Amino acid sequence: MILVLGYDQHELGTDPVIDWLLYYGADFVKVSMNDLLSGKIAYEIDVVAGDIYINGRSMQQEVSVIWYRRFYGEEMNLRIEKNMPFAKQLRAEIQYEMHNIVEHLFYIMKGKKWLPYYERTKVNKLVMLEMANRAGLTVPASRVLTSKKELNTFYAQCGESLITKPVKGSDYYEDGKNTYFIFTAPVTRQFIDSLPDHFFPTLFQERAKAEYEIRVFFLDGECFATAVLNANKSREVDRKLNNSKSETHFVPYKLPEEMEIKVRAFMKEAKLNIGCLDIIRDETGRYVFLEVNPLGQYLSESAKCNYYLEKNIAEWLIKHDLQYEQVH
Amino acid sequence: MNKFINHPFLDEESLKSLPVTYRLIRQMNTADVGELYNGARYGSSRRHFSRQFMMQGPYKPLSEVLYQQYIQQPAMKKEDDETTDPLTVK
Repeated sequence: MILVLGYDQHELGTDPVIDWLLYYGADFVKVSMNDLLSGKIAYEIDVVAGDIYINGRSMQQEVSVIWYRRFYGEEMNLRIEKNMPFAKQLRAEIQYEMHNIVEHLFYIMKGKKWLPYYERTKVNKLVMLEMANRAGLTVPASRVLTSKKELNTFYAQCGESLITKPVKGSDYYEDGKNTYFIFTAPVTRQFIDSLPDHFFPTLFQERAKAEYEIRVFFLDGECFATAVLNANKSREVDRKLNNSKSETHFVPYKLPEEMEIKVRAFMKEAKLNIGCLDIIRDETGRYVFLEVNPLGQYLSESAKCNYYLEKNIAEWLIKHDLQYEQVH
Repeated sequence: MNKFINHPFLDEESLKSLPVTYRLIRQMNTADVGELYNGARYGSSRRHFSRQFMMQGPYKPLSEVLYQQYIQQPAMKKEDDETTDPLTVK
């Protein structure tokens, strides 16, 4: 059986795959964090035996493949009113308690076929850059800096062409009609001059001058690449800000064989069997790796390039489920 | 329209304790941020979870063959159907 770990709510990377699993009549179950909290499903965990029973069925025996699409991150339906005494502490403690229970569930299911492996659902951007470099991919010169003096030196080293972005990423700051977000942004002389002498550790990178950007969806060794073309010289540095503009075009793209080999080597090194990679083809013809997201969104590229990635994911899950059944 | 703004909710003192990326935070119209699901919806049916996603026009023509097959037997495969490709019509 296939176990899908997802959100209660609609999630654009999960539901299209569910549609295909339904179409194929696959043996699967979807579980969300709130399913485990709400009493919607009856389950018990035998800690000593290392098994979880859902509606009396042993998941250890029945589950062969686990697709971790989304799990943490959705707001938990905790029945704690905001005005209760110690509400904040209670919420934090209960969430921590639940995370520990789930951590144990992942541990006891560690021998299953995971997509991606549960310990690789979150990756560190800085570690990935180092690994990508080791795998032979070109990566931009990158520094975490804390002072204007160091930043000035790096700015000069990179030909006065730098960008900055969060190491982890940040969420949307929603305030009524306005929402605030931190995108990848160019660093200018004027901006550097406006900074204090010392600041919080911040990531700066050499700005690869993009001829175009490439989004690669990687699934178990196969690369589905999409070139994002925008000839406007005044386009934004962060691709997300260009996506909805009329002059931006998404086209299927074939990476050179040598590049695909390097991508595979990197994903193997990073212990990732799925992920979305951002790559820049720069003006000198180099392919520059920017980052990888194991749980990245793929539906837009899938639709625009006719890749049917959601179908590919469903078929991958079914194939591995059937292989498991044949062996056992 | 998106625009750069100067420290929408952070004063200089707060910014000193944050990465410099917070000085480059950008303001957008909430309704334009698709991931927040706050834009115009085409419906609010609880049964169809319409409140949890928004309408987007298709990029390409949809196959009626596929939909007809799906509507007939959404979760079942015909016994004599050896193919796994839903677009293949026997």
